[in-house]
Amino acid sequence: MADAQPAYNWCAQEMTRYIDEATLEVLKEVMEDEFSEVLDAFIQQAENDWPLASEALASADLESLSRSAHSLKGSALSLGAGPLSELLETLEQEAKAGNQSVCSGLHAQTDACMHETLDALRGWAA
Amino acid sequence: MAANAPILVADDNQVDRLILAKIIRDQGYDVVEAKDGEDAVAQYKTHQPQAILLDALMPKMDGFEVARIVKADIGEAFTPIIFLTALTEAEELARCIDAGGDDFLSKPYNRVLLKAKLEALQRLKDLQLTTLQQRDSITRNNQRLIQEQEAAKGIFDRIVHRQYLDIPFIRYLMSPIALFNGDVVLAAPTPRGTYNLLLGDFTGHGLTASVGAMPLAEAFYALTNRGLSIANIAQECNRRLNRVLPGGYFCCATLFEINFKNGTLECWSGGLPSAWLLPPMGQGADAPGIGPDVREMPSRHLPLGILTPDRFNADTEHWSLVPGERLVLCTDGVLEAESPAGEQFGERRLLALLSGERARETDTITALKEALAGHFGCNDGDDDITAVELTVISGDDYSLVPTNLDLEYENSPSEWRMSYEVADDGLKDFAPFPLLQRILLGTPALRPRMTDIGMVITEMYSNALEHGVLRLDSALKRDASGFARYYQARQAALEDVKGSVRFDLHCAERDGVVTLEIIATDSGPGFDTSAASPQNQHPSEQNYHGRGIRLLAETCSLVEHLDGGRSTRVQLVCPGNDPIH
Repeated sequence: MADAQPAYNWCAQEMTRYIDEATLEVLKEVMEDEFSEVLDAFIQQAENDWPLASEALASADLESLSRSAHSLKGSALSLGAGPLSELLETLEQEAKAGNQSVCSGLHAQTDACMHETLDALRGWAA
Repeated sequence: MAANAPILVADDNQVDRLILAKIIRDQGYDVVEAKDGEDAVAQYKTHQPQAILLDALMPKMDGFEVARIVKADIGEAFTPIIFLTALTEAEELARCIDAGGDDFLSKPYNRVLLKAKLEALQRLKDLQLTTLQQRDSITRNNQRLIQEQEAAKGIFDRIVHRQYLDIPFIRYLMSPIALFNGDVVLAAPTPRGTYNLLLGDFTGHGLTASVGAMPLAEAFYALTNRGLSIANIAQECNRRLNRVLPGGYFCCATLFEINFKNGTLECWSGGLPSAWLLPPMGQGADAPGIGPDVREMPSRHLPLGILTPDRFNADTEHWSLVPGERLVLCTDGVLEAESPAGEQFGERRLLALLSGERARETDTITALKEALAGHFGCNDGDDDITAVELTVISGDDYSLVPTNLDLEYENSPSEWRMSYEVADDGLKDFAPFPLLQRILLGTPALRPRMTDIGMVITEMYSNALEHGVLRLDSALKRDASGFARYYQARQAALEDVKGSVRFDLHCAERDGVVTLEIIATDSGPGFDTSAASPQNQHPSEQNYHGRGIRLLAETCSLVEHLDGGRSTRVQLVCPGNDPIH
C-alpha cells in the first residue's frame, strides 16, 4: 500500500540547487504540452499565496500561515523544488504548533528560497 | 454506474490538479475536478464518478468529511477513494482509512503507480459488481423457485381433492409445506360406498418427493373412482413409482379401505410407523395402556416403489371396526421430532400418548399437538409432521358424505341382460364391480343408486366366493382375532382355488320404473337357506357374519336364496319409485 518516498536525485550544479532536474524532466514528459501550464500555475500560486502567508504572519494569524504553507509545499514537491518544500513543511508545522518566533526566522529563510526557486523555474521554462 | 463514468480529482492545489488530471486522461479516463470539499461533494453527486482522488486538507470541507459523505451515499456500488497525502503520520493514514479511503497516493505523483492503483481498484470494482450481480441473480432465482413451488403446490392441491379430507370424521395435521417434505394424504369415496385413505411419506425432500406424489395421487384417485380394491391400488401405485422414482427413492405408505356399513377395514401397509385403532373418545379400559381396546396395525410390506411389479406383495389385512373407534396414523416425522435438546419424540412417547388418558378425553390430533408442543417447548415446531385420525361412523352417517365420482360412460338402453362368469385362477384377485360398473353406468336410471349397486355386487361376490366356493365358516368372524384368522384362511384357500362365480344381470323398465335384478351363482354345495334368510336375522345382531346379509336386506327390494343356497337373487328399484328408500 505504502507509496515509497522517492529519493531526491540532487544535482551538484549551481543552477539546480533549488530544483531537482530529474523530477522536472519526468513531469515534463508526463505533462507534454501542458507542462508550461503547470509551471505557470505554480508561479502564479506562489506570487498570490506567498504574500498572503507573509501578511498572515505579520498579523499573527498562524492558522492561515500554516494552510498557505501546506498548499505551497504540495506544489513545490510536485515540481521537485526540494529545499523550498522542506522549508515550507517546517514552517507549516511550526505555525501549527504556534511557535511564532520560530516562524518569523523561518519566513525570512523561506522567502529567499522562494525567490531563488521561482527564478530557477522561470529560467528552466525559458 | 457506467464504465465510462469520470474520475473525480478533488484538490485545492491547481498544480496538483493539473498533473493528476493529465495522468488520468492519458490512461483513457474522463476527469472532473473539484477545488474544495464542498465542490467535491457537488461534483460527486452530479457525475457519479467511478473513482475519487481526494486531498485530505482542503478549504470548506476536508477530505475525510467528503469521504464519509460519499461512502454513506454510495450504497451497494463500489466507488474507490484514493487519498492524496504524504505518507508521514500513521495517525493521519488511519484517519483516511476510517473515513472510507481505499488507497493512498503521495507526491511526487508517479503515473505508473497511479495507473497500477487505478487498475487494481478497477479489478476490485469488477469483483464487487460480479458479487452483486451474483447475489441479485441468487435472489431472483430463489424468488422464482418459491413461485414455482407455490404454483406446483396449487396444481398438486387441485389433484389431491382436499374436500374428502375436510369432512367431519377426519382430523389431520399437515404442514402447509408438507408436499415438499414428501408427505401426502389422499382420500376419496369409492363407488362401492366405502372410503379410501392413503398416507404416504416419500424419501427425501423437495422436488423428487413432490414429483413422485403426482403419479401416486393420480393412480389412487383413478382406481378409487373405478372401485378397485386396495390391493389393486397398492399394486398400481407401486408399479408407477417403481417406474418413475430414481434408485434409492421410495414411498412409505399405508392404504385403507373403510367400509362403514359393514364396520370393516382393509389395509395395505408398507414402511410407515404402525397405525393404531383407539377406543371411542370417553371410553376405554379403566387403566389406560395398550390393552385389547388399543389395537396396533404394524407395517407388513416394503414401501411403494422398491419392488418390481412381479415381486410386489399386495396382501391386505382385514380388521373389524366399532362405531366411534379411531384409526390413527402418522409419518415418522412425529417419531423423529426433536426437542431443543436434540431428543427425538420417539415411539415410547407416542405409545404413551395414544394409550394415555388425554387421548381418551379428546381427539388424538389435539392430544398430539399438545404433546409435541410440550416436547418442542413451543408451538411452532411441527413443520415436518403429518398425522391423520379417522373416527369410525355409522353407515348411515357415512351415506351423508357427498360423493363426486368422475367417471366416463356412454348411454345404453334400459332393457338388457348379461352374464359374466369367473372361474378358478380368475377368482384369485378379482373384483367384479369395477368391471360391471362400466356397463351399469350406461343406464341413466341406475346412476343415482350406483353406490348401493356397488355395495350389493361386492357383498354378493364375497358371499359366493367365501362361503360358496371357498366354504369358509363365517362364524369365525365373531370376534376381532377370529376376523383376522378368517381372512388368513381366505388368502390360503385362494391359492389353489377351483370353482366359479357367475353374475346374471337383468335390467328392465316397466311404466318408467327401472328394476335391476342381480343373481350371483357359485359352484359350491349350497347351504341351509332357512338359517341365513334375512327374515331370521335380528336387526340388533352385531355379529360380523350377519352384517352382509342385513346390508342386502336393507338395500334391495327383494333378496332370496335359490337352488339350495347356490344362488342369491336381489332386485334394486330406481330412486323415486323404490318402495324401501
